[in-house]
Amino acid sequence: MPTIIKKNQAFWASEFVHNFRGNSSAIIGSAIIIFFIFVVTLGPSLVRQNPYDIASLELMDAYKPPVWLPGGETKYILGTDGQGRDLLASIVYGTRISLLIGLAAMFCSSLIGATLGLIAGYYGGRWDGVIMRIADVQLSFPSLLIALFLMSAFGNGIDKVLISLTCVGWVVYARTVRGSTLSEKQKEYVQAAQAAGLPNRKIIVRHILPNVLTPLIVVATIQIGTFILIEASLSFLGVGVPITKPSLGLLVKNGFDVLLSGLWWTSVFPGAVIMLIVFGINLLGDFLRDELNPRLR
Amino acid sequence: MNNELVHIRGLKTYFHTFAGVIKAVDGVDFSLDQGEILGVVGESGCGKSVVGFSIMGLIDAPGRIESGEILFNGVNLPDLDERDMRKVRGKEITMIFQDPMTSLNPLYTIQAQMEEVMKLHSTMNAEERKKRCIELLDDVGISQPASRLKNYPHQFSGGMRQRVIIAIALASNPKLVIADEPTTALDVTIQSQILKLMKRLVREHRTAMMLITHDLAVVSEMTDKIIVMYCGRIVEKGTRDDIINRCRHPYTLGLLGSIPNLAARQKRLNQIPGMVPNIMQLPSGCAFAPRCDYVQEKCRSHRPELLEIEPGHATACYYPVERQL
Amino acid sequence: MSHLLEVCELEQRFDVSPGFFDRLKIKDGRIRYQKNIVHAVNGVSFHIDRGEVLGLVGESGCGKSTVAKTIIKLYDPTGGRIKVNGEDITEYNYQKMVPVRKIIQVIFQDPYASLNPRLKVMDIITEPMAFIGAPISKTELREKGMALLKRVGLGEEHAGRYPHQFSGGQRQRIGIARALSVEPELVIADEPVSALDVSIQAQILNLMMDLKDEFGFSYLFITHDLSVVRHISDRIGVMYLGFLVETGPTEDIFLRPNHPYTRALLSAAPSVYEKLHIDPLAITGEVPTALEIPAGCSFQSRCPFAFDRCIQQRPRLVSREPGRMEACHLLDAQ
Repeated sequence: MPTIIKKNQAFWASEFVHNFRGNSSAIIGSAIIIFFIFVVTLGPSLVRQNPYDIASLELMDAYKPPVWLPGGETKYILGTDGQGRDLLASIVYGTRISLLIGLAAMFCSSLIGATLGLIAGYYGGRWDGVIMRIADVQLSFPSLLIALFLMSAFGNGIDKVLISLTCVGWVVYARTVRGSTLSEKQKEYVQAAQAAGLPNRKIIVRHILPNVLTPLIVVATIQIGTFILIEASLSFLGVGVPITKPSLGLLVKNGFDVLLSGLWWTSVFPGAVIMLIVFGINLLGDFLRDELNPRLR
Repeated sequence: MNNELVHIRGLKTYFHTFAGVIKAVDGVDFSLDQGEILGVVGESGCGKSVVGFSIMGLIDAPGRIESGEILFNGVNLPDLDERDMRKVRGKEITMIFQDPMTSLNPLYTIQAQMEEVMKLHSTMNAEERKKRCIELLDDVGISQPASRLKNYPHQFSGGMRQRVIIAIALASNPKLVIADEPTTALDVTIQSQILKLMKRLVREHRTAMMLITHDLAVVSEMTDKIIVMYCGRIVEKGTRDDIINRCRHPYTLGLLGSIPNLAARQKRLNQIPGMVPNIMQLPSGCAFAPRCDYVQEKCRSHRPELLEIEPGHATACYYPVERQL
Repeated sequence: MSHLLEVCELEQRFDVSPGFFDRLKIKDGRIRYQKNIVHAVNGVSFHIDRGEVLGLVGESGCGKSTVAKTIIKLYDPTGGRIKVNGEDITEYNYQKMVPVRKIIQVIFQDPYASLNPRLKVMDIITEPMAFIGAPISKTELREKGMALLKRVGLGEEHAGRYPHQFSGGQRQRIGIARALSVEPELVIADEPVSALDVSIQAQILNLMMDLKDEFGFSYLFITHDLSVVRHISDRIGVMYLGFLVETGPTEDIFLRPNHPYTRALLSAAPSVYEKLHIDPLAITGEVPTALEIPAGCSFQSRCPFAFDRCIQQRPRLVSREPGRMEACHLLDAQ
């Protein structure tokens, strides 16, 4: 195939966008994510009730079923929980927490993981050995177990959840970045930079980092979903977020006790939302992985 | 007596990509007789490899053969359905690829890979196949062939792998071997051995060979006939002697002048100015016009067709040059 | 007057041993701890003077690229000495090497891997100037960058573009501009035209020769292509398996190669027109692995003239006539 010398095209005319439009799962995934971004930003102003404002609750309205079932009211579309909190409002606020934690954890662990990956890949030797051995040891335990252990030591709290997730999540970023760093390091432009007198740290930041961003972005996208799930599991087990700031996972837990007595909506709806968010992220992540895969120039 | 084995007529292979249509091969005519060695020369992007793949029927989407005929022993190959084509591929026409490091499957022994071809295209039993494998390995110059049958590709060096690949290509006694840059990845001393080997074998078996390469020095030593390609079209074709000593197309002249002479030092190389045009934005008229030292008005507006200037020697140029030695 | 570059008995060994447990092998019934060492460069000595072009030829695996990279301390040499303008830089660390980088620059082989795909062309070619030599203002940097672009045959409009928007030949011009930016005295060109089409090769070679005439620097020109090396170099060094086997003036060697390997190399080179008027020598076999180099002459396994001494004793690079040096026992015997 002859070399095609591309001119700087507008992004919207590019092959990326063209493939995006042709890929139904990418569109669905993005639609889901955009929907939830909308929920998170505008949601609180749209729902009438702030579920954490005790004054606005009416205990009499506890365990009202969703509007389409007998006993439901239009005031509470998805029903209420044991405290009379509107489930829709709770889900909106809960999604904020879950997504916030997911994104924050992604940023923290990618920062730490990428840094360690760059160091391990570029310097090699002892650095590589130590960092990768720690990673290997950590990977031999299920991440949930490690997070569980850490949380029971730290106690509940959003910041503590973030720390645990970062401790658990950095490994996959480090490995991905290390692999890409190793392959970029072989390329001649890195040797050219060395021959130009650049010190190593400048080479890493200016030359290697921009070129390992692509796989990093793919991993990061999918990791958001993973973090949401781990946080949900932790909260479900009671060692995650505090009850004053319930995430979706905690909502599932709250409804779990009464699940079998027929009051299913308090657990199922938050659970379904978790599933939908992670599904959307995975769809988009898959598309990104295929699209951003370095192909023949 | 008609010795003609392959006749390509008006072959057009286009690739329909997102960015546009790539006219990789845009109207190519040539023929090849039995036992003849044809050199297909050109620089990267000229379409020479695509010609080879088109003959083998190995053009995948987004590419396809738009029009033209590929007559092999009178049969038009693009007309054949995949099943019939498979009977031809590997038996009548075989291919040697460029990179010996990746042409062999690292997971299977040499014997397994050689026998695969035999199992598909012949009715030999296991005993006969093994014997033939040893014969072939010996033929291509691998010492102690019997002991090397069970070796894996990684146990062979680049040059030896290429010998094995040649052996596989000749295993079924094909009528035509298409070799796509067979020695480009090899060192000079190994290249020399492999080329000698290939020439000897095709002469012995009266196999025709299409040698696709960018290396003019290699074609000048190996071939009977040469075609020179530029931007998907043939700009000149003729016997080896015609092209090397009496070329008439400015591109061929420029190409020959660009190569430093091994036998004598020069002051400055004759360079062809400019670059190969973007294959999706070919100039109207002659594709070489923007870079040609001898260009005239007519060249820019009308695309020249191949015209015979002496028997067997044709060039696509309105103002063919005289070669200055 | 010291040489611009002098290399003495340069050695480069790479430890490619696998992990700890893989290194333990069972040999002769005992567990042995085995290292895999690639002997890439084995005692290479040569020099380059101002204004001359030394061509380093050899086939793949002969160590010519490794020599180049070791000279500029991309790898630290495992043996030998490197002197630049009389200054011994063998032990120099990164800090001390910075001023040396103004003297020696590199043009790399692969036009697709030698430019950072995320940087604009202007940033790529001005990078050495930004890090080597006296501090320089942004405007001056840009001016010099533009001048460089023009000098290598590109235009001002190319400065803001990215590498993927250029062809192979153009990328190589960018690489040349980058190397020339600090006005070096020696340019190491590591197979600079091997990845290019023939017609572009000619352009780039002419450009490189023009620049040399204009700026007066020297080249260490590394290539496997014999016709290119004949065209461009004043002197040649022939390498085989990490050893320098022959050196001398280009024309002389092409007319009268002494070492059997040089003869074989020249005989094997395909030519469009006349072959070389030398005694042809065909050799068979493959290049042996650099993991286990033989005790005697490195070429013994393929040399048709090998005799006892070749197997036992490694020949040294010795001058038997002015300007020429060969490492071969056969020539002593004659």
